[in-house]
Amino acid sequence: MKRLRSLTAAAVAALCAGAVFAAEPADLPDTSVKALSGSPVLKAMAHELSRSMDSLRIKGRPKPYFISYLVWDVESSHMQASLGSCEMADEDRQHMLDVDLRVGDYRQDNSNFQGGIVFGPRLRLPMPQDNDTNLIRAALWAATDAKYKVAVEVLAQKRAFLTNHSTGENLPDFSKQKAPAYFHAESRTPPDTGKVKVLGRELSGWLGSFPWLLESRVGYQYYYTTFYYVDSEGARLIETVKEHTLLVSLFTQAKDGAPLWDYLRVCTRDPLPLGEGPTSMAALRDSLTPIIKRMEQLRGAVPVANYRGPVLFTGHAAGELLNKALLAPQSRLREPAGTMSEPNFMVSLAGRKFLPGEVTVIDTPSLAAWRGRSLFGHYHMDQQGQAAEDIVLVKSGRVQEFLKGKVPILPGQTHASNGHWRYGGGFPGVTVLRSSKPVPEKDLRARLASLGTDEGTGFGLIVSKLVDEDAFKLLRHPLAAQLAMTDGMDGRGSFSLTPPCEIDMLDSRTGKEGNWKVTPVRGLSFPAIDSKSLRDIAAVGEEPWLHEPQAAYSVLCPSLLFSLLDLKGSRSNQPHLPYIP
Amino acid sequence: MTLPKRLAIILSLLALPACASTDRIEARLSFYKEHLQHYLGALRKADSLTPYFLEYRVNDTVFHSFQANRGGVIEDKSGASRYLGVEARVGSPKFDNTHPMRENLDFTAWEGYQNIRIPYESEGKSAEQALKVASDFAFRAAKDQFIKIKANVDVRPAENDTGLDFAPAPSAKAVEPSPPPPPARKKLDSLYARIRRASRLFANHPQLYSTQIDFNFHQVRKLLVNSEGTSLAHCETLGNINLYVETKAQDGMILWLTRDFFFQEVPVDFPYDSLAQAAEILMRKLDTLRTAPVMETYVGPVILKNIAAAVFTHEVFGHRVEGHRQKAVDEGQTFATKINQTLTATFVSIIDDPTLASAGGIPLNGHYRYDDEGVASRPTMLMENGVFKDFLFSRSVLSPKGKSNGHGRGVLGLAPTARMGNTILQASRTVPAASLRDSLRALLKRTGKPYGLLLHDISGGFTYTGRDLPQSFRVEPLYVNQIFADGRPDRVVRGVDAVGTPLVSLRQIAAAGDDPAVFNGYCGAESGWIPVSAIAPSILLESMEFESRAKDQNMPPILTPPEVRP
Repeated sequence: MKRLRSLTAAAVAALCAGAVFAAEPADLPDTSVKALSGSPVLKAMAHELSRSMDSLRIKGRPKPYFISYLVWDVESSHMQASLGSCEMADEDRQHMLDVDLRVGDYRQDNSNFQGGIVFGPRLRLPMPQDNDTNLIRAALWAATDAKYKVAVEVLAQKRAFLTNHSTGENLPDFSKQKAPAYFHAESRTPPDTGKVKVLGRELSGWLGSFPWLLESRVGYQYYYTTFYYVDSEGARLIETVKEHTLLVSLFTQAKDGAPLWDYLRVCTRDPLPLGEGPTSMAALRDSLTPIIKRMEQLRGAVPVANYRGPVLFTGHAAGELLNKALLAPQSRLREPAGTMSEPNFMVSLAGRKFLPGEVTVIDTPSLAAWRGRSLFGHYHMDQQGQAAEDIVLVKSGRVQEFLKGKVPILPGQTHASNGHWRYGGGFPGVTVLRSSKPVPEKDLRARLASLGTDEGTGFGLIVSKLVDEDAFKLLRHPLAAQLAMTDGMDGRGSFSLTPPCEIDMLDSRTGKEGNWKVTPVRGLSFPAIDSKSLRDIAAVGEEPWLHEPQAAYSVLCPSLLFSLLDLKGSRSNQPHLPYIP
Repeated sequence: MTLPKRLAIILSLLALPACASTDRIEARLSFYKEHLQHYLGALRKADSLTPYFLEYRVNDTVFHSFQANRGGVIEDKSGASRYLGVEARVGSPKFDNTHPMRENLDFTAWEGYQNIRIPYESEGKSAEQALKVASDFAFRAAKDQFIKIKANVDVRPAENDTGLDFAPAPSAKAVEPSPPPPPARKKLDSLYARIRRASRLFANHPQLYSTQIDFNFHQVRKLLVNSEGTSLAHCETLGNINLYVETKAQDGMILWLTRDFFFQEVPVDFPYDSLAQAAEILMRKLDTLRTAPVMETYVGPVILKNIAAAVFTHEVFGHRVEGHRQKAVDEGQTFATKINQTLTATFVSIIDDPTLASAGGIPLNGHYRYDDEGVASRPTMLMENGVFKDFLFSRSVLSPKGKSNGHGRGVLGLAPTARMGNTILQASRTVPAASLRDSLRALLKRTGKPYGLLLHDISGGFTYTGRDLPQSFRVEPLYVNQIFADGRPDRVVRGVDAVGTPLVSLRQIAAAGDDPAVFNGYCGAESGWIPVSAIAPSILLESMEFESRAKDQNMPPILTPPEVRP
């Protein structure tokens, strides 16, 4: 007993003294080694983790076999302006934490089970505003205690369930992977608050010259986030990401009262040159003018009724479609055991046709930039401390691989993480879709027109923009809430898209080939889309469009032409136009 | 010529800031008044149903907020914000859209647009746009509700409501000069350092699981204009330092204690010693509480110490005399027919007086000059020498000639209802507070009970006033002593809550001490969380019932809290 105590103490001392990495320290440059071993936050996390692994137990009950801590330190600033006035300009800093604690063993632990609800301890201590290690440790202590007690009971619930039920696919609950050390820190580049406000006032003031716009708002947000990760297998990492985003949201009502919305988003990892280049007033007005003209035109447009026919997804919409169809379902690839358990749909497609045979989809977090622009989806380590790998998700139309963390998902295989576990599940980095038979954009439109003629509609639809969550949050108008509602539900093999902000009709009945009339239309939304439709993609474009939702990942996807999709017409009862002109 | 010219110039310069400040406020009020008239005119032309009333409320809040624990900073924020609320009424003052709706779950109700953030700078286009949309939506919501309420009244059994949904009130015009702004954040460094240092006293106590010291200060300038000509600008200022300590008994019961210091100006020199002393007392008491035995259920004599008595007054009596509750038929209406009846001891009177700014040097949370309907606050005698006299009223009143008594309160965005301000229990006959123990022992002897209870402090409580559940109250004592009939030393106990019903409980007041004290807090009800006070001396109740308190079913943390390092 005495010897065990002294070993433990030595291990703790080693952690505190700076030997925080357990593997491949020679691969790290000296500055990184110093940064990791000298980080007071990481040391505090490691110390509390070690204390819990050593001593956290209830007599007669299993002790933790794995604990990980993820702390993120978010420094941010926000500005919002409307009609020439700055409405808010705040700076903020907050810390958040996530604890993964497992009891049992890698084969069977408390995870991957949906039983009832175990009401654990309520004690939670707040995280500090700055990197106060005393308060960080206190918060970790309270959270770990609560997690442990709940884990013990959940494991018991799971074991009780499995004694009376078959074990299904017999997959291990967790896997042991490498325990790397990693450090990467970008420089802080907070924006000049004065310049941000000037830009906000000036741009929002200009937007005030369109009186039919019921709401217009300019927003700027800057985030500098530092992730700290430690786990009981020895992984250690510190990684930072940052974001500079300028947003403009515009809202109005059509003549029948239907809410209309559009937006502009300019976002980069690197600082935006405020008032210059792409964010000069002239450049922003040039970008916004076609959006404003389009909205004005839509105000008087008659809404389109229910539609069935060809649809071309282009721009952001193409990337968002790929995201909802292929990437978002991978946030949960392991179905929990329990009375409602059923095989995971996405995983059941391993090796199966998902997209046309000409299509390959890769996820390549190592890609740092595209056309000179830093990519948000570029990262080195995931949030389980595993190195991000470049993988092939779909090859020649068939599902090859998944966005994997440490949780095994495929039976009968030795599991290896490919470093794609972020934000609580499988998460993409930089996803790129390519076709071996790409079609130029103008030819895509020709095919769209031809499909429309063949279908009997005489036209096809082009969807180029869906909801952007950050831009949507700028809206405060009470009628805006319904704009982001999806009409469909995500389910087995189906996914939903938010109503389009920008959708056009390409009318093959007017003009000659290559010169068809393209008119903005409104009033359409998507019911749930069956992922089988993806196999019916008629053509894929040449040039990729970049889509980076919420600055968290990147999708490079060319235009996708569907030969047949359904869209729903708009609601019959729209709110009245304003009483006060 | 009475004053030397130089002195006159100095005096006029001194006067300038106040005048300039008042001018700015007048300009702002004019902005809202002009837009109100313009938009009301537009709304009256828009539809067959028209608004008969429109009101704008704008709150400017300047705040400081600081939270410290174990020597570290959890939050340090300062800022300013401006928010807008709009009310529109459709119908008539006798019957309008605010009339209570009975038994109706409506999924198509038009949602208003409330609590809108507008720029914290001179009003311009952005504020104008917000006013336009908010006025429009407030009218649509009122119209929607009025159409539905008319049918609801016709279909349901007849109400006994002879009152008015919106009693007339004289228009009020008042512009108070701005008080001095709170100190800038930089000037609070030393105060925050002292708070932080005091919070470190909580460190390295293995049984202390959750602790915090909070500093809050906010100064709210309230503007109110309405279509009746009311135009008000006044300020409310509130600040407090709160110490909080929490532990867990071995049986899982969560135990906590708290101590507040209230102020109306930022106490930049608030002494560290006061914080340290308060922290030490809290930790000592909590430690006693943690190992105290759990009390059995009980009924018998009880002394409510002054602060506990104040909370008792608020929960047992105060909520039941909120006037609007007497109109709603699903409310218990406990006191609706009790005017001029004796309900409690003849030496007891209860008054609600929001005009009082402080008592015994302690600022009162429930002080305000104008309520949130623009009616001047005034003292209201609720219980006089044991006889029930009156209710608290907003402009929703019980009789055709009823009037608001300046108690219409609600947070921005919620319609004001009758709420308490400073609720004061006064005793015309008192005994030295210490002698209440003798009176309690006398009761114990008479009833043959082995002990009575002394409640030092109550965390708060709640009261249920609706008809579909027992119309009872529960107050949650934080620190309770048993006082033994045989004279042995008091014993601290834990694990019980006081329960009862109002009419029975009020009749139990047997004696009052000479030690009134202030309870400052926040009260939550239909119109939101508002600051209130209650003042009472210690009182002896002949009988009160205590039930077992719900207990958390999680054991204390397995590991001791991490050591705090310098």
